[in-house]
Amino acid sequence: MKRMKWAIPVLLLLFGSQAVLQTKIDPFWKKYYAPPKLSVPGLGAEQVLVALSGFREVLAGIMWVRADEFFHQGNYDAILPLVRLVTLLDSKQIDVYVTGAWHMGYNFTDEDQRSDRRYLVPALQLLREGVNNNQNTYELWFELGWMKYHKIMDYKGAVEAFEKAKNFEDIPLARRDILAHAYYKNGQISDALNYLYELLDMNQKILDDYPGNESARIGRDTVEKNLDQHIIRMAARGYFAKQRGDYGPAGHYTTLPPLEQMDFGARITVTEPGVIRVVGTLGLAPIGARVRIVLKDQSYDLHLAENEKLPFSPELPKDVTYMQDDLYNKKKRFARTINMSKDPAMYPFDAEKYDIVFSWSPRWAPASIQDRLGWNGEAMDDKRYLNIPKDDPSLRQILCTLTITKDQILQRGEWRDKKVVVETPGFVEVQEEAPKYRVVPNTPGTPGPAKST
Amino acid sequence: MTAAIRTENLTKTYSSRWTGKRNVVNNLNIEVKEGEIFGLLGPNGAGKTTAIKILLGIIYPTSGQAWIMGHDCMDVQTHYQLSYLPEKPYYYDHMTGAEILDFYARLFHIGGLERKQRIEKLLEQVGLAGDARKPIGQYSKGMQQRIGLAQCLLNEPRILFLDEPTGGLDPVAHIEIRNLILQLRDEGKTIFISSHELSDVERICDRVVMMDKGDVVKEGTLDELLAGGRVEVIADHASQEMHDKLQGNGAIVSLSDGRLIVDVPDDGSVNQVLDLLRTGNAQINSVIPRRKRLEDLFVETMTGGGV
Amino acid sequence: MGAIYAIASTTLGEAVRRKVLLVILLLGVGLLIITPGLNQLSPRQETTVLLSFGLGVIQMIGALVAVVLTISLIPQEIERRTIYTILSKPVQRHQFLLGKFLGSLATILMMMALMTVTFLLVYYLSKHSLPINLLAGPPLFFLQMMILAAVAMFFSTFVSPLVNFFLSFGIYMVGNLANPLFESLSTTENQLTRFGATLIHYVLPNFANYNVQNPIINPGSMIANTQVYNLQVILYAVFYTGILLTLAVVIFDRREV
Repeated sequence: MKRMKWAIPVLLLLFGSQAVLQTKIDPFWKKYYAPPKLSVPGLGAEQVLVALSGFREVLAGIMWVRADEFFHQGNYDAILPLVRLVTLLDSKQIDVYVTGAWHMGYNFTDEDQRSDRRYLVPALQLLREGVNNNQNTYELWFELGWMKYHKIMDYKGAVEAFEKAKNFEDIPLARRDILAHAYYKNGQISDALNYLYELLDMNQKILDDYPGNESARIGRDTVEKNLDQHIIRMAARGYFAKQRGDYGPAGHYTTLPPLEQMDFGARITVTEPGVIRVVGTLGLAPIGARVRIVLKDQSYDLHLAENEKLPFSPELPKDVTYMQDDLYNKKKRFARTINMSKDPAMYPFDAEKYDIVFSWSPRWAPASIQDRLGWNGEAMDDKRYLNIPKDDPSLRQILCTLTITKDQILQRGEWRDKKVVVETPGFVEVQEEAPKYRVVPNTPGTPGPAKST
Repeated sequence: MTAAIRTENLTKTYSSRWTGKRNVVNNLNIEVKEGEIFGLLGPNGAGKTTAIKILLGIIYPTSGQAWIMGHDCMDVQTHYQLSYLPEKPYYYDHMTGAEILDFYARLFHIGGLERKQRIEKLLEQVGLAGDARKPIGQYSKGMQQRIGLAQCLLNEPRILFLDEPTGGLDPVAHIEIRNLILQLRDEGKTIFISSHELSDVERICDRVVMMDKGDVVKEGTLDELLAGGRVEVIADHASQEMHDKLQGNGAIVSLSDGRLIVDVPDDGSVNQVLDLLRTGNAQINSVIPRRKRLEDLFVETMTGGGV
Repeated sequence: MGAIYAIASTTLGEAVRRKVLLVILLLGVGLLIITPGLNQLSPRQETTVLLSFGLGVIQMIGALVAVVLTISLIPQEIERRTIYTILSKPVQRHQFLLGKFLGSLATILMMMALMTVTFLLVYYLSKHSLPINLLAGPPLFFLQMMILAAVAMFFSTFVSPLVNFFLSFGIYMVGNLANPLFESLSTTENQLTRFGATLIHYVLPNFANYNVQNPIINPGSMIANTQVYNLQVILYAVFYTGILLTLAVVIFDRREV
């Protein structure tokens, strides 16, 4: 080897140089060239490999086509893992976030046979992740806001998201209106008013720039109409009078006084294992109010606000039961039969104890009801179940929780063949008219539908 | 005068896990004078090609040293003065005869115009001028050998190493190559031939060294090495008396139906035998020299002595 | 120099006639031509998919050509004994090695240039425009292939082509992952893991330095002046190639052929 002595210093020099160079290269590469950050920690090595190889975007495209096929075949369970993979491979595919979240938020939860609210968690997580990975467009903020506004009726969250979306330049004018709706749904009345004025100015300016443009005129007119309507409501509900400090007596306004008593009450009857009949009262004569009922494991909650910030995971908590439904209130009463016996995957009934939570917020209500009760239920009261949330003291809502055990719902153990009734204290049933629904007969002595646990 | 090629205790040892250490070339000491045709003979596996590769600096000796024109053979500069024609060479198929010569000429750093002239001259000399624009892939075996010789002569070498130069060629080609070698020798070039056979070509060697299993087993002129051949004499009308007399002299004799076959050593005693036969009025039918073949020599050497 | 040039040009001449390389090249060009058809995969991301796939093909085919060609250069010379005639000429072994390497580079350059031109044409025909930053990718990919070819060259001096194929591609993979891996592992608690990641990052050739397609593929990312970076990675490629070729020369010089 004596002839190769020159190689050692040369190698050392080159080696040192490249290592030093690498330290110079690192920061710039990291800043500008690094592939989009994979937002899920603990990713498997093979996933990283795929994600870092070339063709990521192409692979993502191919997978998304496949996911669409699964959807049309009704194979929903196969879609979510694909959504996970596609968004990892190409974090810029906005369509995938939107459609994926939409599948979970609507298609998986609103079908007749499926009402699985557990999907709302991953739906929000996916949109959140999309927002983080696509900071250059309004779209995913808008979608996140819409899901909270329309599906979850979390108007506070919706306002936050729509306010973000509003700041992007690429948001179409026609999509800006929704923030005004979110404002007054969330009880931010003056914010809604100011924003509507702002919108009117924007629309007017466009109409001035394009005087003959029909759609610009329609846009301006729509905002103007909304603004008028909002001002009229504010006046009718005594908002301006309150501001001025000359709030008049009863009869001056559509709302308060008097304070309306809701007299909320409910009774749950287990008619068959896994099937409940719910009847109850909400003292509102006009139609349009929908009381929300949730039946869930006592130890579980969706905790949407906290959970949406976690990384998107398509895995559902399989052992958790979470049922949500709306009870349509008509002539001060509501009644509905809810069958949870048909789908053990959705309603496994693994836990021993369950909460049945009734809730109703005037913010969910249509304008006709808000005209009587105010945006925040100012003119509403309930002797037992009025609830003022800690994080939003302006809101007056109905909240009532009953508990029921697994044995009761499934009519087993000591409750076998017994009539199970859970009701609010002092519940008085209002006489119902001839039912428009078919009541499932509950014949004593015949076993209910077979149910395995 | 410096020797064209000289080796001193040249040894190449290969060790393998299975067979242990093995000397492929063992203490080789040779000296080739300038202008000489030198033959390195031996059966396959004797170490001839290994010795040549060491001389060409393609592999390294385990110990010992070798010089080309007085310079260490590991010095690439010596390659300007030598050329090598490997056994069964292969050239880049896609290149034409002219292109391959141009390629090798560039390796010798032969400049533009001179390169062109030399290539043309050499193509003419080896009889490939008409096929110079054909890809080598289409050449016959003989043509490939000739293009090989042409590339060997590009640098006007003083020493030529020819490894099995006649291997696989027909007898006509043998004669062509022999004539070419003689012509080169007349130009004053030193020729180093390695071979495992003893064809017409090897017979023109001025001096040979015979190797077997890495060792030099014999050295000298071919005549010296092949001395001690035998002559077969056949005569008719011979008598029993002649037979007895020859047998008494130590020859191997057989007689049947008056035909006598005598096998005599090639050491001048043939004349005595012929005299005897002639004086006895026997009719001499044929006198055939039975010279040694190289193979006989190998066998002889390996079994350790004359037959 | 004359000898190196002669060996390099002969290597190029032979390489462009190798069927397996031509098949790989044809595959690449074919893939590039069908690229616009992939738009259906993601209608809103047409340009992204087009760019991702096009650049991906150029890179993948480039790597394949670099490895498949270079692993066989030396073994083939030995196998058909052409190396004897060459080494018996006044050619130093390092000249031979360098000539072979440069011939390999010329081949890779030619094939990648051909694919790039094809891609630019395909892109222009389907988009009627040519983003200037698209041209930033292929030259850096070529530098990447230069290091990869040097890796294959280095291994070819002492392992068989088949082993070399897997070794070279293995190193290519690890070297591509080096940056993100280093980034994610450099914060771990485990001292040994951190040391390992640092070692890989600074010792193995860092192919990721040349993966600059992300800002090209994904719209909306702004990038600062790249001149200094480009200079750095060019130097890096030269240094690293120098290391590998020096090692190759050291090994090849003692190699019995």
